[in-house]
Amino acid sequence: MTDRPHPPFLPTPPHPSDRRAVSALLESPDTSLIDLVDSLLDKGVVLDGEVVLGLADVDLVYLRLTLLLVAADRVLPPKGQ
Amino acid sequence: MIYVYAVAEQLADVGGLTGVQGEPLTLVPFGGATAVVGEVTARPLLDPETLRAQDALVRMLHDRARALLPMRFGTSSSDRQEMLRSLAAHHELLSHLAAVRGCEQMVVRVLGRSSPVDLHVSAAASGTEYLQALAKRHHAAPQLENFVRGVGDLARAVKVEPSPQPGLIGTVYHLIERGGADEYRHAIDRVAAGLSGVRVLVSGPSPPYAFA
Repeated sequence: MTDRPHPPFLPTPPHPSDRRAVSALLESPDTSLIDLVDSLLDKGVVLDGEVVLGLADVDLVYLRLTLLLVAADRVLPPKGQ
Repeated sequence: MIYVYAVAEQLADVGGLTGVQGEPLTLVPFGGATAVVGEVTARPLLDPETLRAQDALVRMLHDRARALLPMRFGTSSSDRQEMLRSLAAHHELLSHLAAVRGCEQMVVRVLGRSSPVDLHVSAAASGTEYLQALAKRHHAAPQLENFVRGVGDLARAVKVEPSPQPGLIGTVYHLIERGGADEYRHAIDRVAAGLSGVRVLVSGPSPPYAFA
């Protein structure tokens, strides 16, 4: 098993307009999406094993929510990169 | 391929439950605990339906177990032996299981104005820089401390995540005893009512994802 805590579909920092949209997203009718992304993709036990995500059919809303909600130090590349 | 959903304690059975691909579930004992796994033909895809299916399954397992640690989406092994080796290497799982025994998770997301700060800690070049970054994170969102203190003895454990995003001050995860959600929500409402310029979104109860 190998751990891949940085999902490969998150190379780009959020656009400022996305940042401004965070409150609106958080108050969207389906806030359970936020919990799903937060819980299943960013939390939970990670073994030294493998966390690999199938990437087909990824809905853009998940990309956006993930960018907004996953802790920055786990998502954004270090400064200067 | 073995897909791992959770590690549980005193999980009697998984009768009537199936995995995200409709596969039967298997209980694999290790070290006094049990891994809940399914044998899948391919790694589950990341899509809304599968996320919902896994979350629903983990919740049902949590309801049936004395303690449960959810696995992150996508956790898999090529075979059972590899999975058992991996689990055996993580002795901390058993202590984490003990810590969440009889508990569930509540989450409060705190919305409001916050100062944008650089919350990177993983990029620190030295230990001192790392500690300074951690301290910066802690002080970046003092409003969150109100929600740490405000629930008092209701919380068995707490985790605080300040947010770098304007509009979201941060998220506080609480581990509470099962059945305590209503009392928790009242406590959070009381805290929020005493703060200006702050709104909250409370969710839960849920399995203890943040404490796994």
